[in-house]
Amino acid sequence: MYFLKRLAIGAVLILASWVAPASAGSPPIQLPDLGTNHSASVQSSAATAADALAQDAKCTRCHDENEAKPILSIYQTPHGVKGDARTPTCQSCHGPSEKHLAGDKTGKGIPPPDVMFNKHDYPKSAASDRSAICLACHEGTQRTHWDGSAHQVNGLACNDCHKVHSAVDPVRDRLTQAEVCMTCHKDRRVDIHKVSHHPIGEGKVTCSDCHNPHGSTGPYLLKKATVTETCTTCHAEKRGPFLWEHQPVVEDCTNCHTPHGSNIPPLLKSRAPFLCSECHDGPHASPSPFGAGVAGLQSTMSGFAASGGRAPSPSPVGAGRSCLNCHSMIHGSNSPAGAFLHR
Amino acid sequence: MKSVNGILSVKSLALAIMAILPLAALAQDDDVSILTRPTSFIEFGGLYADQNSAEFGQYNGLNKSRAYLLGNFSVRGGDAYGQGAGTSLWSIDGTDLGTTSRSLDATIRNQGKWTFGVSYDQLRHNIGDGDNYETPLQGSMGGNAFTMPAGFGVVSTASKPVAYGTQALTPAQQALFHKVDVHSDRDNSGFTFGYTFNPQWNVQFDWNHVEQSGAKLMAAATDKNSTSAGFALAGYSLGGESIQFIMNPTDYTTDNVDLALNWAGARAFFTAGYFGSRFRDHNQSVSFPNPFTGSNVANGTVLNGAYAVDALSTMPNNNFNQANFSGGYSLTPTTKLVGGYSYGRNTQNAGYVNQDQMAPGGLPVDSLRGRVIVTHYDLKLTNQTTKDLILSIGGNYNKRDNRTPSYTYDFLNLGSEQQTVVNIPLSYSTTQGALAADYRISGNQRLHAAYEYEKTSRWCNNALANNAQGELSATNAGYYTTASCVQIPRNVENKFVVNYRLDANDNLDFNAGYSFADRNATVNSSFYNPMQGNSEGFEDYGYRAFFDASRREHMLKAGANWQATQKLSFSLDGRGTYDDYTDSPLGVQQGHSASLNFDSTFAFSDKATVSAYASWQRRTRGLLSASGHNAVAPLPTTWTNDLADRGATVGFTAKRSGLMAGKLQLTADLSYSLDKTGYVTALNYTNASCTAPSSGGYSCGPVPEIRSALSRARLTANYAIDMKSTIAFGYIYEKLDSNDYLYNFYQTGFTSAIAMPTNQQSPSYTENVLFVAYRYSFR
Repeated sequence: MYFLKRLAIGAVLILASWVAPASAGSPPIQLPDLGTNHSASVQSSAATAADALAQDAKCTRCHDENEAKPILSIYQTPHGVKGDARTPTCQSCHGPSEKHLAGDKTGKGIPPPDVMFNKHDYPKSAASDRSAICLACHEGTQRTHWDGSAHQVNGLACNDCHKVHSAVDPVRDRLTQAEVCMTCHKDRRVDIHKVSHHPIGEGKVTCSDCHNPHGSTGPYLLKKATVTETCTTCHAEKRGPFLWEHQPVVEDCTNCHTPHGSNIPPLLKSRAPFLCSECHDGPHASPSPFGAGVAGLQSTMSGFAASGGRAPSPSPVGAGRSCLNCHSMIHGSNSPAGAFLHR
Repeated sequence: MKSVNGILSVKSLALAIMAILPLAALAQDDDVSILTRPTSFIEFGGLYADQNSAEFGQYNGLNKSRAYLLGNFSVRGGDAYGQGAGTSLWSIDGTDLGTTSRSLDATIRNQGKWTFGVSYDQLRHNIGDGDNYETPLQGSMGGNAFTMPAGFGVVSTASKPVAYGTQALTPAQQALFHKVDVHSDRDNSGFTFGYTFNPQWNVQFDWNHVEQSGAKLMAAATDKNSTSAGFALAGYSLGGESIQFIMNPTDYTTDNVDLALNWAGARAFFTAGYFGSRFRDHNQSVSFPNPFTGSNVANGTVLNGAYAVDALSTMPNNNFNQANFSGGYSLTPTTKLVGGYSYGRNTQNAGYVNQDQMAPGGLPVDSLRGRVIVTHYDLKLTNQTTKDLILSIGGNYNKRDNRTPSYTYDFLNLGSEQQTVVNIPLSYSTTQGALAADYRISGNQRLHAAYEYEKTSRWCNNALANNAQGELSATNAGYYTTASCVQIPRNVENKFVVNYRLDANDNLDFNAGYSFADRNATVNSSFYNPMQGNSEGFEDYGYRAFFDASRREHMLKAGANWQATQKLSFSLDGRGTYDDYTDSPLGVQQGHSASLNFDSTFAFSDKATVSAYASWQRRTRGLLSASGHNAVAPLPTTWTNDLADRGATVGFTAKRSGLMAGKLQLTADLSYSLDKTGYVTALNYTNASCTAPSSGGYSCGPVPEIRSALSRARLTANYAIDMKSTIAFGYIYEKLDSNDYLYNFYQTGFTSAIAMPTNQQSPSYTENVLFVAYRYSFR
C-alpha cells in the first residue's frame, strides 16, 4: 500500500504538469446522437433506418456491391442494424470526408476519406486515430484498460484484429479466433500442436476465454486479476482453499504448467522428479540425483538398500509419475491425513 | 501483420469442412441482397475414421474406428437484415453434431434493447481408449469405490534381484486385468441475457453450468498401517508405499454467474458487477483396496480376509463470490483516469473424509472452515496530449488473505509413522506499478520505454502457523528458531523495458525490444518446510524455490514484415530470454529460451495462393542440487540436472479456386511438428559412478528423450452444384509418433514390484479419415 500511495502522489504531480490544453489529435467524428433518452421514444426505428440509409447513400452510391471488398456485408453485422439509433453511418467511422465526397476537383485524383482503416488506394490512418473512432462508442467494459495496454503501445488498432465489414468477424468466432491471434503470436502455433494442449485449435477453448486483448490489470492480458483466478474459472475444483495447500499452486498455476501446450502431459513445464527438484531438496529420495533410472528400465542390479534388497529399478520414487506416485494430491488435499499431499 | 491461413491444421470437423466451403454461387452473384442478407445452411454427411485412438479423438470425438455422422447448421434471420428497418436478429447454430464434441447455440436480440442466448457444448477428454488402460480393480468408471476381484490374492513384493521382467504378478493375477475406457466429459450449458435501459445504462447477465462426469487416472499409494482385522488374523504384513493407478471420479458441477451493470456517459464510464462461482464434487472420497503384502508372503496367495481399504480425499466443495467495480473518467479529452476495485470471498467447509485409521488421535475439527478474502485495486492515468507522446502511470494491488484457522493434526503417514502437523494457510499480496512512455521519434519511428515495479509479500495470519515447527532442532541448532510459514517472505522486482518500431515504408516494418528485470528475494534462512514432518527433514541449506528466488532476466526480441510485391510477403521474428538465479546456492541456476518464426505467402492470382511457415523453439534449465539430508551448511556433494526442450513446426497451405467454371475449390494443408525433451544429470563429487545404479537405484547420465512427431495432411475439395448446393469431400491423414519413457513404468513385467501396472502405451497413432458432406444454403 505504501507504494500505491507514492504512486498516487506521482500521478497527481504528473497530472498537474499536464496543463496543456487538449489538441485536436483525432479527426472529427460524426457519431450518432446518443442523447439521454431511449431511441425508440424519440423516433420510430423505420424513420431511424431511413435517415441512416440516406446518410450511407452518400458513400454507397459509389462503393456498392461491385467493390472488390464486399463492404455492404456490414449490413449483416450489428453496425448495419439501421433501426438502432446507436448504429453508426459510414461517416461516423470514416469521417465526414467532404473532400473525398467532392471528387477530383484538382485533377490530382480523389482525395482520401478522413479515416482509412486499411491500406488500399490510400495509406491507412494512424492506429491511434483508427482506435479513437471505435472507442468513441465502445469505451468502458472490456475496453477499460485499452489505453497503455500491450496491444495499444505496439501500434495496433481495433481493425487490425476485427473485420467490421465482414458478415462474420473471424476474431469473434470461436472456431477462427485463434488463427487471428496467431497471426502475430506465432509461438502459440507450435504449442497447440504439442501432444498436450488446451483444445484451442479444435475451437473448444479460445484465446479470449482467458485473455482480454483490449487490456487488463492482470498479467499477460488475462481477464482476471491473477493467473490462478483465471484458471480456476474453469478448473474450479482446484480453487480450494485446501486444508493442506501447495504454495506454487496457490500463487500461480504457471509455476508448473504452461497453458498453451507442452510435450509433457498434462501441460507441464517439466516432469517429476525434475520439476519437483526445482523447488524441493527435502526428505527421502528427492536430494538424490536422478538419471536414466527414472525411465523405469529394469535392472539386474541388486541392493536397493532402502527396500531390503529388492530389484533396484524402476523405483517408484523416480519412475512413472515419480513424486506424484505418492504425493498425488499435488494441487492440495482436504484429508486430515493428507499433510504431505498423499491422500 | 501478415496472415497465413490454415496454420492451425485443426482437428475440429467443423473447421475442417465449413471454413473452406467456397460458396461459389455467392461469389458469382453480386446482388445487393446477397451481401446484406445472411446465408443460412444445413450440412450433413458422413465421415469414417480407420483406427481406434484416444489421442487422435482427443477433443474431436473420433476415437473409435467407425463411421460418424457429420452435421452442422447455421440458420439466421431477423428484420434487421437486408437494410431493413427492424432491429431484431436471431441465429441458431450447431456444430459437430455427430460426435462427442458437439455444440449448439441460439441467440435472439432486439438490438439496442435486449439480447437473449442459450448454448450447449460437449467436450470429452480421453484418458484411455479401451485398449490403453488396464486394471484388476472392480468398480465403474466414474464411481468412487473399487474392490479387488475374487481370488486375486496378494501381490508379492519379494526381492527378485535377477529375474527382472517377471516380478510381482502371477499369470493368474494378470488374467484378472481388464480394459476400461476412461474419459472425462464436460457438458457446458450457458444462458445469457442483456438489457439496455437507455444509451447510458445496460445490464448483462451470464450463467454457465458445467456438469463433469467420468474419471481421470490418479496415482494412489497405500498405507501399510491401515490394516484390517482380517490381515492381522492371517498373519500378513503389508508392503509399505505401494502404488496403484485408480480412476479418480470427476463427478463435478460448476456454476459460474456474471452480472454486470454498465453505465457510460460523455466523459465517464462505470461498471458494477458480481461474479459467483459454486463448485460441487459429488464424491467425498475414493476408496480402493491394498493388495500388496510383505515379501514373506508367497506370490499369488489368496487372502481369506478382507483387503485393507485406503481412501483418497476428493476436491472439496467451494464457493467464490466477488463484487467488482471499475470505471474511467476523461479528465481532459486526452487525459484519462481508469481504476477498479474488487472484493471476493472464497469459502470451503466440506466435511473431512472419515479416516479414523489414519488419524488415530482424532480430529481437532470436522471441517476446514476455510475462508480467503481476495481484494484487488488498480488505478491508471494516461495522457495522449500529442500524437508524439503517450504517457501512462498506473498500479495495482492484489491480496489473497487466507483467514482459514490453523489446527494441529495427528495422523499416520504412508510409512505408518505418526505425524503432528499444523496446516499453514498462506496469504500473499502483490503490489505493482508501471510508468511508461511511447514517443514518436519521427513520422515512421516510435520508441516505447517503461519501468515496472512489483513487490510480493507472503505471510500467515495466525501464530500457530507462524511457529509451525513446534520445536527447536537439537542437532541443527538455530535452524528452526525463527521459522515462519514461508521461505521467501518478500520479493521485489524492478523491470526496464524498451521497444523500437520502424515503418520503413508501406511495405516494410521492423521492431525490436529489450527488457531487463531484477528480482530480489528476502530469504528466511531458517525456513522449515511445513509440507513435511520434523522427522522427515527440511530443504538443504541454500535451496531456493525457483519461482520466488532472486533472479535477473534479460529478454531480447526482433521482427520484420516485408511485403515484397503485391503477391509476395515475408515475415520473420525471434525472441530470446536468459534467466540467472543470482542468489540460489542450490536450486535452479539459470534458464534460457529462444524462438524463431518465419512466414511467407505468395498469391499466384486472386484464385491461387500458397503459404508456408516455420517455427522453432528451444528452452533450457540448469539445476544444481546436493546429495544429503537436512544440511545446515553448504554440501560438497553437488550434482546438476539440465533440461533441454525443443519444438519445431513447419506448415504449408495451398488454395486454388475458380476451377471448373468457378464451381470447384481445392485446399491442401500440410504440417509437421517435432518436439523433444531431455534431461541430463551429472555428479560433481568424487567417487561417484555414472554407469551403474548405486544403492539408491539411481544413476546420472541422460534419460531417454521424450519425443513426439506429428504429421498432418488435409485435402479438401468443394464443388458447387448450383446456387444452393455444395458438396465437400476430402481426406485427413494424421500420424503421431510418440516415444515417452513414462510408459515404461506402467508395463506388466517392468513395473516396480510395489506398483500395479496399467499397460498404458505412448499415444502413437496413424489415422486416415475420409469425409463427404452436402451443404444446402438458403436465405
